[in-house]
Amino acid sequence: MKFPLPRRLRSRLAFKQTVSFALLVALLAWGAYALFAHRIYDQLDDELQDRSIAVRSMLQVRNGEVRWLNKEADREVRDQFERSIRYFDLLDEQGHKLDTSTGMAALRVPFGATAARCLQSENPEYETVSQGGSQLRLVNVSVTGMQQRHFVLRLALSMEQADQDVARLRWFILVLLPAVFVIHGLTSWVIIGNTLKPLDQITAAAARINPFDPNHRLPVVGTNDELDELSITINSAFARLQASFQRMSEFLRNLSHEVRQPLTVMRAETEQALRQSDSDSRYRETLSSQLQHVELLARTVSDLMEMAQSESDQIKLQRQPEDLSELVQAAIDGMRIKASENNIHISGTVQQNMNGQFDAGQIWRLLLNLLENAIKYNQPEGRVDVSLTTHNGMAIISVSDTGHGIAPEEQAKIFDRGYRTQSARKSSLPGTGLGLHFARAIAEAHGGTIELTSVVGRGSCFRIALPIHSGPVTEAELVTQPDSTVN
Amino acid sequence: MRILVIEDEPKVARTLVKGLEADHFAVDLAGDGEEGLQLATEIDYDAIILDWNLPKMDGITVLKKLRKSGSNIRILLLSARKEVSDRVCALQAGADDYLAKPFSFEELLARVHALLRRPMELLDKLSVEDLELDRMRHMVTRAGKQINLTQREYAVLEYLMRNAGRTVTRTMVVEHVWNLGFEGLTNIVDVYINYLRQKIDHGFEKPLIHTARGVGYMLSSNQ
Repeated sequence: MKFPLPRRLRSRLAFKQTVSFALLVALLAWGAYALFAHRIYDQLDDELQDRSIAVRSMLQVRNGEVRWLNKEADREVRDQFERSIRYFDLLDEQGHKLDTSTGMAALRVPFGATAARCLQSENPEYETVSQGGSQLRLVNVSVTGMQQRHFVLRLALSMEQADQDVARLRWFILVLLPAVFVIHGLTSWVIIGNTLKPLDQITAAAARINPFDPNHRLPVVGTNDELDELSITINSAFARLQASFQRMSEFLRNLSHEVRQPLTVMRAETEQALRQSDSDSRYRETLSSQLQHVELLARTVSDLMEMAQSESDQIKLQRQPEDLSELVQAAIDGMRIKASENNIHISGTVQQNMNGQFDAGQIWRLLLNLLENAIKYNQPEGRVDVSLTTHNGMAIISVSDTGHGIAPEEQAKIFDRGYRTQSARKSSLPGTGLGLHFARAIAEAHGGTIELTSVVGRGSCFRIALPIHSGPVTEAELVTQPDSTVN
Repeated sequence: MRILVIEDEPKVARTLVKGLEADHFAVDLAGDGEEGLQLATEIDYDAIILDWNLPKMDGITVLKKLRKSGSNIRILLLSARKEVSDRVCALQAGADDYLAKPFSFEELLARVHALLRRPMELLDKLSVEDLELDRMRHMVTRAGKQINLTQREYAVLEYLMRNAGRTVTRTMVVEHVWNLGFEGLTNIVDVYINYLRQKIDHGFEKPLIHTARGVGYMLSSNQ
């Protein structure tokens, strides 16, 4: 059966603490009681032994006659002697009484096994006899007389005093123990209450907390203990949550902008086309324009899905033998029209025949992200320079622009999911803040790195280092081509 | 040509049926996996357009059951899942092609035509007008003049020539020549078509590579 524990932590701790303390103290008290009681009865036996020696020294047995030396002693000694030997008798080996005191005679103690044992061992032997309600402690001492005749001297003392002492000890302990328990329980209650007080504060603060308001945080008392640690840990978790929430809401703002723009255009075009329903070709023109917007929206939705992927997403690569030079050159050629539309001059220096194992689709995405950024955030009549070289077995792609540059404090965050720089946010240029995040993920999935060097006002340079794999590709990375396209 | 569409979303199903019928196909519609499987085993269709998520029996199960029964009917699987691993899973289960939603109908149509053309024997030489491609020697000539192409350019051209006279979409080209990772970034095809135009059509009176606006490209001797 399980004992139902109190619900509150404070009561529960105090209760457990007190119970375990009580068990320990009870054990100690029981030990002490046993020890002291034993000592009290031992003292009684010692007293008996001392007196037996004294009595024996006063005793002379001659021809079966008992003579007390103290009869010749002065009166004071005799009185003392009489008092100390209220209970005594002297017996021969057969148990015949040679002498007895009146007190002892009344007792009628039989000549028993203990007396016989004493005659054999010649050591004092103790026993307890009862007289009426009270008990007596009795010692049997062997006495040797003339012609090696043995006698038994028996002396008894009342145990009343010793019993009283033991009883007092027992009462003392029985009264003291509950008092100790109660006092201990109360102090535990107070101490535990004080220890747990910050927990109440934390609970109260947590009830008011708003994860997105940095002013509402859990209290840190400054004691550096576990509760402080708890508060600090939870606070930092909230801080991360807040940052990620801010990035997410930022992303959603960017996204709604990106969605609203094509929707606005589509709506306007449709309305116009419906109002001036003149020709078939007009409709076709409108519809083909709308199709482009739909494609833009589809791409935004595709970004959204990427964003919705878990934080720890790892891009799965489909590596194939690939000429990186060709990809980089194609990316530069692919961006030429967009660059000239923006009055940007794009140029490339591409080292030829750089063959390795790459995921062409992902590298293409990486290149386009970097080139689009370099064109988008450039100055009028600006330049974008792309180069591909090798260094220490790594392919180095660098994309540099003559744009606004990125402030040092923003450089670390630029690769974060959904992060856009202050100037990018201020500009009307659309963007989701995902491009560089994916660029880094792609470079890292290839076992490479991406670095940024940037000077505000002069431009930025992204430098990607990718290991040139020439070895075999692992099984997991091999993905079969769809066989529908292999006629 | 008779096509079975197994799709439970009414709007998508209606678009598919209407579009395919406009392209002169006979179309049957099944609203769930079980009905679809029954129709597919009873009637000899030329192709099936199968949705992944279906009530009663999902598309992959339908696909596997059909393949297990020995059917080699052309099947195009539709799905909202666009992960590369999902595509691979679908193709391994026996799909002939895979298309992620949302898709353009032109894309679907181009793929259905490609599917129906599939049992074409592999010729050693492909030719369109005076453009010739020798598969054995990996050589391309136009009007007898040899043209040097990179590996990727060659692959793009081969795909265009194999589907000569038919529109191929950018996604189809990318999936064939590169890999599935170009989702939404198929403009690499435009770059390579540009390269090919420079090498094949430049300097010749009659261009062979044509743009199908908003859809893709076509290699054809017709203007």
